[in-house]
Amino acid sequence: METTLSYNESELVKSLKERDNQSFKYLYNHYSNALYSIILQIVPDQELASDVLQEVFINIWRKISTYDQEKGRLFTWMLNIARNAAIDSIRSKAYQNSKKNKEFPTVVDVHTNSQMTQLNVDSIGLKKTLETLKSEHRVLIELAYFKGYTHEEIAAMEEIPLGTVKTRIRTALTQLREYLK
Amino acid sequence: MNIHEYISSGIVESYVLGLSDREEAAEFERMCREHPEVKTARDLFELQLEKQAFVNVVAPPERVRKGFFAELDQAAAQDSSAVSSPVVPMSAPGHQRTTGNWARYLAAASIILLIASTALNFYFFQQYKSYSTRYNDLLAQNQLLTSNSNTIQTRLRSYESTISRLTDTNVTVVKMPGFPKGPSPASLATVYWDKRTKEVYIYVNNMPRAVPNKQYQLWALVGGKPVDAGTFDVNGDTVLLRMKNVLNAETFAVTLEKQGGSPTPDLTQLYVIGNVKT
Repeated sequence: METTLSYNESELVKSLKERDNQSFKYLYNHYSNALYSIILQIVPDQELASDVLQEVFINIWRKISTYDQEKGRLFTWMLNIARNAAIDSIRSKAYQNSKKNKEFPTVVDVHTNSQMTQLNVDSIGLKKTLETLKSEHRVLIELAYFKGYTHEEIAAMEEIPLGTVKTRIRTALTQLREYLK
Repeated sequence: MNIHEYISSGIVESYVLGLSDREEAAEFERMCREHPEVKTARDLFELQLEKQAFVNVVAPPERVRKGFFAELDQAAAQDSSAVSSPVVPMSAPGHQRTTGNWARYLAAASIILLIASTALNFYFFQQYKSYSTRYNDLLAQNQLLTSNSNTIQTRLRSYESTISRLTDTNVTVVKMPGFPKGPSPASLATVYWDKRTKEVYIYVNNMPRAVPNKQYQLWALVGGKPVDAGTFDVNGDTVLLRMKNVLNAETFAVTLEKQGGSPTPDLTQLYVIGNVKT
């Protein structure tokens, strides 16, 4: 019966906040593909991404009482949990790797050098629309959104002023929005 | 900065995607409360993002689902035992717990059964409604086909009898062209006269429809004296029309007369006329 149930968003949030297990199962059945695909854009290794996904759903279950409908849609909230968890996982992985092997000091290198099973995730969602951006913009979105660097970190890494980083990211985002339409 | 500039500055996207810093986010949340158009822009972008996130998705391995569901069920089991333990009497804790669980399972099972049966009822009712509509449609279609078939059979019979008259060698064929000085010189009608049985049929090759309250009347002329051979209408169905029997005739003619025919022909209304070939 659980797959035939359907909720509108307010009903779903209400059931989730009441910690109704069926509604969490519905949530999983309905959103796991989308969230997994987003995690894969940050964590290309499928095994690791699957672990992150399970952690994300457990976090959603734990933190649902802090979700505030006034601040945005449920999906946006879950998307940000997924993105943060994915970024945390590559950072800690990067940390472990850099301790083991000093020759791979950056996050980016860890991915390209490890023997991981990788999917082509470039056709999914936001990542696909990235291709439409100018390279100077694309790099910044990659670093900020998919790698989780702060604007200050990016300014230092790319050796451009903080103000320029902010302006370029904003410009890139408004362009992305056009492509999402 | 006006509100539209604020909306199109990229802050909406930056906030939704979690890229704005604490200060910007706090300001944005305040703007959402104060300006409905900011909130509308946020809702719109969130919806676009959500829609996009479901395109070309990849399914995670089944183990994630099993793992998460197992965690959920385990947490629920802990929850329910935590809730029921305070009401357990000290004397027989195990027994009470089981009854409580049994009752809970029974209640859950009966609710599931009720929902399932309601759903099935609804489903069967929908099926019934759909079949009943389709049955009525078929019935109506069948009636239409039957009545079409009857019409066609009637017409077929009249064509068959027409053909058998035309091919019968005992039948005298009398062509009646339009009377040159009559109302319709281009008219043409044919009389089929069976001299043995005296039966007369007329076939209207080409004649105008009679004006209202008028009818065509066939006359058989013997020695210049007209004998009534019956009236007929022209209604577009080109079949043989049975007329009155005629014993003797040298000439056949058709005039337009009042409804039901006249005792004597109105010769100003002579449409067609033809002689019997001997």
